[in-house]
Amino acid sequence: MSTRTLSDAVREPRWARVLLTFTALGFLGLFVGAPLVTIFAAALSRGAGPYLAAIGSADTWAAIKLTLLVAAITVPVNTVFGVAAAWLLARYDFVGRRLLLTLIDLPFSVSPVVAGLLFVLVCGAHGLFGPWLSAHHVQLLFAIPGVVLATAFVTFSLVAREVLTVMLAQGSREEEAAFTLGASGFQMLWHVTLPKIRWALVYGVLLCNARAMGEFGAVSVVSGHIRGRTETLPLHVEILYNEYNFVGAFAAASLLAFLALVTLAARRVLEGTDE
Amino acid sequence: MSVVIEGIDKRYTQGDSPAVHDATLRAASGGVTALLGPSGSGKTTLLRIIAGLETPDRGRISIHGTDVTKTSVRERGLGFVFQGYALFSHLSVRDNIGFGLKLKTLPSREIARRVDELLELVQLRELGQRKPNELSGGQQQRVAFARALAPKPRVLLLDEPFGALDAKVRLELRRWLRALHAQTHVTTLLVTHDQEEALELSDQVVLMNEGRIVQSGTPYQIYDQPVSPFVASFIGNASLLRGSVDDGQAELAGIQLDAPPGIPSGSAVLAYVRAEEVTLARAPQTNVEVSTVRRIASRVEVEVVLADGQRMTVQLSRIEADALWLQAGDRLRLDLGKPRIFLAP
Repeated sequence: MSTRTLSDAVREPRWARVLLTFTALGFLGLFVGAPLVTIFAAALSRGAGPYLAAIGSADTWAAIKLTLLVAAITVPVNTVFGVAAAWLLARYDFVGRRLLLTLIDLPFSVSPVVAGLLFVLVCGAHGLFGPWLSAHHVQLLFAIPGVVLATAFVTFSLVAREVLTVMLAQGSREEEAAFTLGASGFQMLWHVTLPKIRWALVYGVLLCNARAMGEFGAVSVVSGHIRGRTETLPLHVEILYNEYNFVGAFAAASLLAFLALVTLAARRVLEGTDE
Repeated sequence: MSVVIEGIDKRYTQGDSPAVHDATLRAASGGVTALLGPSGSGKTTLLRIIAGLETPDRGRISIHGTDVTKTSVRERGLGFVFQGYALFSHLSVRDNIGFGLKLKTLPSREIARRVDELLELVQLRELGQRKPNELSGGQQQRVAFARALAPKPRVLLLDEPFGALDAKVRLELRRWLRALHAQTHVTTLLVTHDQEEALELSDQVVLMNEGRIVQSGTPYQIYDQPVSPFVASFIGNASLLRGSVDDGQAELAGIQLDAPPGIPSGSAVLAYVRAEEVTLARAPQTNVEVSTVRRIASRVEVEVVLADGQRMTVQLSRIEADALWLQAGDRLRLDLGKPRIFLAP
């Protein structure tokens, strides 16, 4: 057990350190490690055959494809939005800056179910834009566009938050230096700003992707649970579980858990290269 | 005339006092001009306006006879050395220096040649592959100079270039900058709050206070002929004495002096007396009493009380002080030299 760079004055006695370590690790094992192992154990409880069959079923495949599609749309959109918003918030003082800062936090503070309900209220048949939408034959709710919009809403601040923190800490002196050396706005963005924020950006994108693929609450409300059409992986897990198809449910869940592990591993690797 | 600015005004927020007010100055081609002043005097704002990093509310800027008031930063062709360097932390020393050249899309062999030349000039030949955070403060500062000089700027702007360094490195880099300027002769504007730096490095000093230019001239003019009480108190290590003028004669704490012309009889005056310009001597006729003696390495600062109770500081060399056998309570004769006398407001 190394003590890093603590001075003697603030270092706890040995028994306290051991106690703290065991408490932290024990808690982690109980609430994170054990469930993770359970998912894979339950998924493989009848062997590899049923597991692969469950993953290969038509409905599961449809759910996987929709999940990938939703992520493929929301992640790039939120990345562009996130960088633009962080840029604006870090560099400029404008009317409404505080409002934008607060709104960026909204998806964090609002329950995803509420977010989904908001979409229903705004876009539903009796909602604000419902009549207009149906008059123009636009089907948002209980269709793929609704799933994409709800996911985009829930994940829209993840990239912005990560990038904003780094931009605020770094200030804009290096950008000014680039200008004085003759850089255009685009050259400055490409040669100075993006390299400076790249790890925060990549990490934000990873988080955004993980959340986009794993989102349940908001998507559950707006999707209408149309099997094979508007069901993402998390929704599919719930349906299979409710039908007592445990191997199927856990097999689908294992895909999501695997995604989470890959995200965490990627983060570790990135943090390693950053230092 | 190389850099000319006329009637520059800049106010950051409506209602606040202006950061720069009605600033007009000329910086000679090939020379070094120092913008000197206490913090908050507007000198950095003025430098950033010249660079194009800030837009003035009013006024004109021209460089080599061309009006650049509306020209963007990138097209002004200036080199800027930032306070705290602002090196590109993700690039090596070589890539930092070559940044401006790469933007000009010069052939890579030519860039490499010019970067080598600059590494030589700033004496960092061995460190081209390092990242900025692997260099000392003084080395980073020299990289910042090389980066600014690489695209051959028409004018070099320096914002507190030695501000973040410790005293010894400051002094070394000051000498180094003098030598560098003697080699390159690039027109330079330097912002500093350190009067010694300004007086040593520049041919022209522009002194600012509260957003206004209060005096400009050669270092000698600024030092010898301050135009206002502010300049007299800011430059050098001056003590303030109060007195009066009668019939062309000033009286300061019982000491008689010639008053400058134009001060009417019977008016109160302020006199700024430089600690390094007065002398103390043992004499039968004394006029001051020594209250404290502070020895600071090679010099000695003596605080004396004058006849009417006013106090002032006298600076002596250690040799002078030792010759006088100075001790607190001694009575001595003080010669004020030529204090700068102004009509009291």
